[in-house]
Amino acid sequence: MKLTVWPVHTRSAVAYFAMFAAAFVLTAVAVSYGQMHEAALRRDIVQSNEMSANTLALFSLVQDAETGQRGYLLTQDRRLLRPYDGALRRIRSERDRLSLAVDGDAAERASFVRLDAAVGQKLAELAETVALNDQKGPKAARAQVLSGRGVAYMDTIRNEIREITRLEDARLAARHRASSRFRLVRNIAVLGSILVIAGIMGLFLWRDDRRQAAQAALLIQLRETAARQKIIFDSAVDAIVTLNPSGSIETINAAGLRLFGYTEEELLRRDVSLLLDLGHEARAVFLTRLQGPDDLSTGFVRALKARTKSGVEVPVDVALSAMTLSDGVHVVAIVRDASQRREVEALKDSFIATVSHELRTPLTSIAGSLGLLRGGAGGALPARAMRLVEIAEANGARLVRLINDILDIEKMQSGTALFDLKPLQLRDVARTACDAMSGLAFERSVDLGVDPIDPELWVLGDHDRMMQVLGNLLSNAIKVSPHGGKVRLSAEAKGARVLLKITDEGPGVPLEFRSRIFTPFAQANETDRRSGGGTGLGLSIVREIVERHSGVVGLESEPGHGAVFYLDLPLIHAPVGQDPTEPERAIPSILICEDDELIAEVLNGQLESFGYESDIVTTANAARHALHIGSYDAMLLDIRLPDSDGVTLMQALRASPNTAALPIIAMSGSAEHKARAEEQGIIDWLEKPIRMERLERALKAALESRHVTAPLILHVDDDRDLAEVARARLGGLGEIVSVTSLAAARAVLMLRRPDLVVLDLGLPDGAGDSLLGDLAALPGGAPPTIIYTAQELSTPPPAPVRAVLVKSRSDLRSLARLARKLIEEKRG
Amino acid sequence: MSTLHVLYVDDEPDIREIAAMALELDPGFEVRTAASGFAALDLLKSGGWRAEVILLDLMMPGLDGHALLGEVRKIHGCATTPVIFVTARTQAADIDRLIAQGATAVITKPFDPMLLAKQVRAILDL
Repeated sequence: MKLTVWPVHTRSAVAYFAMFAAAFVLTAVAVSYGQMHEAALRRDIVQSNEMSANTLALFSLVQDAETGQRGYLLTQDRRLLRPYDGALRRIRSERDRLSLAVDGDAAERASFVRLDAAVGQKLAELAETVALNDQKGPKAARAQVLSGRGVAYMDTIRNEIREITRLEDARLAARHRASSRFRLVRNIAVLGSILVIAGIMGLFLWRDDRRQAAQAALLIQLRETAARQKIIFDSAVDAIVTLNPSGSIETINAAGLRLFGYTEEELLRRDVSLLLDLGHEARAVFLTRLQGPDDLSTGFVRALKARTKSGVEVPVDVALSAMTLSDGVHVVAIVRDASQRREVEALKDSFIATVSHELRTPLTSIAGSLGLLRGGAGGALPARAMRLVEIAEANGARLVRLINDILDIEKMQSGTALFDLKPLQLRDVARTACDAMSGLAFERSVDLGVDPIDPELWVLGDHDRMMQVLGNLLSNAIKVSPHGGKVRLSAEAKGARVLLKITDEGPGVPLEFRSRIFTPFAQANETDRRSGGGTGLGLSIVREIVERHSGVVGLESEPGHGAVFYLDLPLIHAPVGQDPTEPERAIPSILICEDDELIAEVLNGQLESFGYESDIVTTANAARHALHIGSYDAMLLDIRLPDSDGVTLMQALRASPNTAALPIIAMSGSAEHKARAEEQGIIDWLEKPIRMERLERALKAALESRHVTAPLILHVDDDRDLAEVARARLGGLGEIVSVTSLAAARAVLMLRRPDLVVLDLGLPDGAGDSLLGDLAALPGGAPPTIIYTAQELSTPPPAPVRAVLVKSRSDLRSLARLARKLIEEKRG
Repeated sequence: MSTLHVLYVDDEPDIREIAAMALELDPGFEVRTAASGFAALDLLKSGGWRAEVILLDLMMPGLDGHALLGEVRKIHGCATTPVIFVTARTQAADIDRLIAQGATAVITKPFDPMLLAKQVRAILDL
């Protein structure tokens, strides 16, 4: 079970935070905007008050001026004019200040203009009256005063001041009204925001609380489940060990501690190899099955040896199953003490061996007698008697097969069968198996064949056992095929593995039978057993054998449309040196690639007269195909071909490891492309018409070049991919032998002397330069050596090393160039 | 064509009889049988009859096939006589061991009586 609470929870936390932040920002904006607004209002009030005070001050100054002037007119005492003069001065400055301070609306401004004008006129009238008094005497002045002009001005001034004060009051009142409205809105906004924030926080706390409650409930549930399972785990009779993906012990139950004699603390996080030899083979087979199509629900049982703390070895049965968790595949191993069972098994094995021998002895007599009777050794038999003898003989033979199969599967399951694993060329294995079955196929009129198989595909296997597997599958396929049906054996590489397929056109395998087809004595129905004459053990033996080869056997079938049995086997690299399964051919075989059929026929005849075998192809494609599936010692190549020119074909052939060193003799009607062809490495360039003795000489040279002078390049590098690429790059230079370890390199040096060595320094079994000593000890001294490595050298390399190329800097092209130079230098 | 003298050694009387019949289907064969390793040695040492090929069972009471082969090789004139084992025990490893010990070939029991003589001829390259 996987808990996915966190992501959802994180998402809602982000949403909460966003809402909270938005409400907070809104509140802050409202508050600060309100403060700005308040400040503006306060400024307005101050201004308004100042305005009113100033106008009143102006009025009282005008009154002071008038009072001073009236005093003077009444008393004619000039001293009384002093307050008048003072008032005049202050009025001037007061008027200036007012004119600056007035910034209100148009009405106020107009009122001020009128006020100012009235003040001006009033002051003029006062001054005029003083002047009349001084020039024409107090009478004239009194007449002026009594005229009432001055009183009228004063009234105007009073009115205007009242007006200005009224306007200011009205403005302030309006401001106050607006301000209180704004304050209301702002307060509502702030309150709202606070409510929202509080709400969010409340919701958040509520949700969190609920989540915690749910988690607590889940935890309790988990604890209970764990406790329940712990009891089951610890009360199991078998030891149960779980391993983390790296193979360390994660848990072990009470039975496990009892079996192995350790305490739990001593085992946790230790590697499982402390307890079990869950060796390379077992893990590989287990993992292979894991990838295979099988149902793993029942686990996978292996008979192994376990070690207890006191060092005693205990035979155990181990059932493995896989548990996929977030950090990888964990393995559950259920380990059962099998000491007693093993004893019983050993008894059973010896019993079976004895019984089967004891059974075979009388069977030999029975089969022998019947065989002689049928063969006429006892005189001619009547037809009915002959039929009875045949039935008895056939069943005797079946009994023998059954005993053999039972013994076979017994050996395999008890692990006593020995496998002689050697590199096997798949193509060769497939051909041999088909040849062995061709008799049966002929008898049943079945068309049996092998599709072309890449000669580069090799597997590690026991030859006889592989024959047994393929023989069994092929004979099954032939037996179920209708007359004239096709049975095909094919192989396709899939990365590091190969799928070997046996395809038939029989009735197919019913769905319900597929799951148990590989179990002993499983046959789809009774009639199968009678008609096929099989023992019912063949496919279980096949499965045992294939699994001992780290392989998987499986089946695809659509009832009514035949079946495909497949073997999925791990590939290995082609072994060093010549193909050991390819017999030495006495007669050289030459491929003629020539589109003019007449010329081709003539060449064919000539080659035959020289004692060579030859095949003719007429296109570049056909040549490629022929070289892929067949094996030729040399090729005669026409440079002009209908589908491609000869040089292009040569380039393609040189890039393939199989044909990189194939001796090629080019033929052409002209010298065109000669230089390009020579770049690809040709033995000779023959101009048409071709002279016979020249052809013979060229062919001799070609065949000699194949056996004698092809330089041997030993490439030592544990990077297989690189070895593959380098092989293609260096292919044209000679025979490349790629090995991945020092030991393998030394094995090659025991047998052959390389002309050039390309050496990596970091090898799995030691430093590459330790091979230099072995090279120096070769007869004829050390061959030129190129160190091709990812490491930088700290000291200069010793003598046979001609160059050090650092992998990251030097590409394969420069390696190939240097290799060519050294080989040519050596040839002189 | 001269007669080929064949000695067949097996402790099972039925198999001895059948094998003798099967071998004598070839008119060129003259077959004698022995019921045990000791009987075979007696016959070979008597010097009256010279075996040109010896067929023997591996698992016999008393002197078994391995021991018999060793003894046969010590007899004057039998050092290079072809010895063919006819046995029910035919694992690849067993066959290898027998050949390494000096056996010429191994024929698996149960054998096909109609082919036994032909098999012997093929082994001896006759």
